[in-house]
Amino acid sequence: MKELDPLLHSQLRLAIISLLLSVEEADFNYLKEKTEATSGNLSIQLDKLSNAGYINVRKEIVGKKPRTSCCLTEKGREALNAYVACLKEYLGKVM
Amino acid sequence: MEDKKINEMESLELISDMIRKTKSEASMKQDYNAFLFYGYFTMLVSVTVWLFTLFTGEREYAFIWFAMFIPYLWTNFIGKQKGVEVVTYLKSSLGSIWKVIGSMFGLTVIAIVAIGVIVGKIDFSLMMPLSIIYAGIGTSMTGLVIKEKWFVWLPLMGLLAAVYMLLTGKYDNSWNLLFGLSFLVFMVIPAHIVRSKIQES
Repeated sequence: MKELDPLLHSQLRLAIISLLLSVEEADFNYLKEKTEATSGNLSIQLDKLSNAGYINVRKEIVGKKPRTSCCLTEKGREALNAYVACLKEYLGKVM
Repeated sequence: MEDKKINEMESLELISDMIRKTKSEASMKQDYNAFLFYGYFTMLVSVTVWLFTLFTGEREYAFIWFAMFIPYLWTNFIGKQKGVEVVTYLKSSLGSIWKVIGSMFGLTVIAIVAIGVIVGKIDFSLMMPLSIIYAGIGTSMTGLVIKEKWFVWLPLMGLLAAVYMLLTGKYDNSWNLLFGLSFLVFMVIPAHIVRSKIQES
């Protein structure tokens, strides 16, 4: 049986990727509100996902305020698909 | 939420929970303010131009119609200032539709001026039926995307005004009222119907 992607097998990182799956782009505040994570922790996890190439992070200034927006990459989408397939396989064997 | 390990069952639950959380944005259950803003603004300009033309007899007051670019510029400016928290695929598609429609308005103005300079007569009267057609197509396409039949079919009623203008071919003051009326039919009325449906649900 394949091993679950360790990068996705974490509560907050999986939540971020799942949120980004259904939207084209989401900003930091949106992700923070939906995941109920702290700003510091969310930043760290976004960096990890970005470094792995699972998400694209864009930083810009909008109306004098910094804005961080994120979107899922093709690599991230494929990783989530593989992760879900792996989960199904695992749960299928257990149940 | 923290950076902690979860079991397989919790993972699946988390994925479906997060997807569910984004559904409220994806379902387009917004308040349709943009349609009401454009619709009522058009009606205001429509009555203003009609009254000025009626009491002065000067058809040059039709140039007040250029105020129609104000809500377009305003919504773009405000959108950029505020920034948006989330862009759904639905919002993105609708944005693209209205970007094309907006470009058609702009290009028509440029074409009328450029061709007018060449032929020696700049006549903006054609802008009115064309604008009804453009805005009607945009509203219908929006209706198809968001699956709201009021937005799909009522623009066809508005198109009657455009066909009337094209057939008569000669601008008169009634066109101004007709223009506002058509926006009432295909923007304001469906927006209110859909808003009330959302509030009821």
